[in-house]
Amino acid sequence: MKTIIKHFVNVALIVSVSVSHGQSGQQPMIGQQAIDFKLKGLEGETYSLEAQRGSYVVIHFATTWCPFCNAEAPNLEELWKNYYNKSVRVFIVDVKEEQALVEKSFERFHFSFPVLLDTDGEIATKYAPEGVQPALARYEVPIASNLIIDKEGKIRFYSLLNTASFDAKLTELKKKLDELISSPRK
Amino acid sequence: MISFLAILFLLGLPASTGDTSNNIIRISTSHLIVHAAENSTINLRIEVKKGYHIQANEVSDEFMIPTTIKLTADTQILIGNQVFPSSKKLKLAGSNTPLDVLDGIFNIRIHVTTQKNIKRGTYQIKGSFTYQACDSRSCLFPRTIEFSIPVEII
Repeated sequence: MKTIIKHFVNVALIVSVSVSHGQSGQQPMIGQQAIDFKLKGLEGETYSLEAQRGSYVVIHFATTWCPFCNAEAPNLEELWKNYYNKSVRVFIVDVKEEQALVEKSFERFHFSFPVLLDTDGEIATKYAPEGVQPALARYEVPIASNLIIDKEGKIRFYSLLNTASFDAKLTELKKKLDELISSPRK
Repeated sequence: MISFLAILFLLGLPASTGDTSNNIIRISTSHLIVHAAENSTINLRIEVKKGYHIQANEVSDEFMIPTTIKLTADTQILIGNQVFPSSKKLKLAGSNTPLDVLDGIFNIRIHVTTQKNIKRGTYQIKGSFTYQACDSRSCLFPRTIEFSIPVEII
């Protein structure tokens, strides 16, 4: 019996460490090549991540019902307006929702950058860091997160939702973007 | 035997029968015992997992997913109003519109009326509880939990 309990405790400790790793101050997947995707935008055009090489790409994973996503939305539009002439592209990837709902909901934000439809959640699933929030469906993990992908396609910033330090105004993201733009070899 | 019970406890199985729960919501209700042609009230006890909140039943943002309960019963049991508790306001940094949320433990009252011709016996009111929850690290897709309320006509 002592052996069984000892084994159980060891397994619990391993699970606990692997879960906490992705939720510490350290951002996940930094330096990794971002996974390519081809997604249709609301206006009907298809966008691929690979086609954005040579630009910095900001991605926000969202849903229409996500309150944190909606709080951030006006600031994403402002970011796009302030950075589009600095080789920065902004995309929202909407997860597992129908086009009609997304169009109706996001109409109020007047986005001038593409909103892409990840209708089956496949791309959100691929961007879920391993070991983070294992109790969730994988496509739920990136909801309300923000990424910066550099000109070579590498992930340089990935902030998952954390309401204790919720950054609706994208202060940290802009700081990183400015750093990358001013020192591209970093 | 003791080690088997310890494993069950650690797995977090519901502590009592009559509860329905998933990872986030636990729904409990007591057995309703009532006569024919009587008005009564069912108390649904809802327990939201610590750290989470769910959107309230009435939300100011039309795109938020409100908490809803759907109930079906025998035609001799009339389901009346559902009375939710007052919601709490949750202010998000960077947003001018606070969210209307529920958390912790609260009761929802459901008024029922039995018809005068209903026969004695046990009936079930079938229910589904739909909600959308967030905690400090995640916002979950809307979920629905099914439950049933036994009603005994005496």
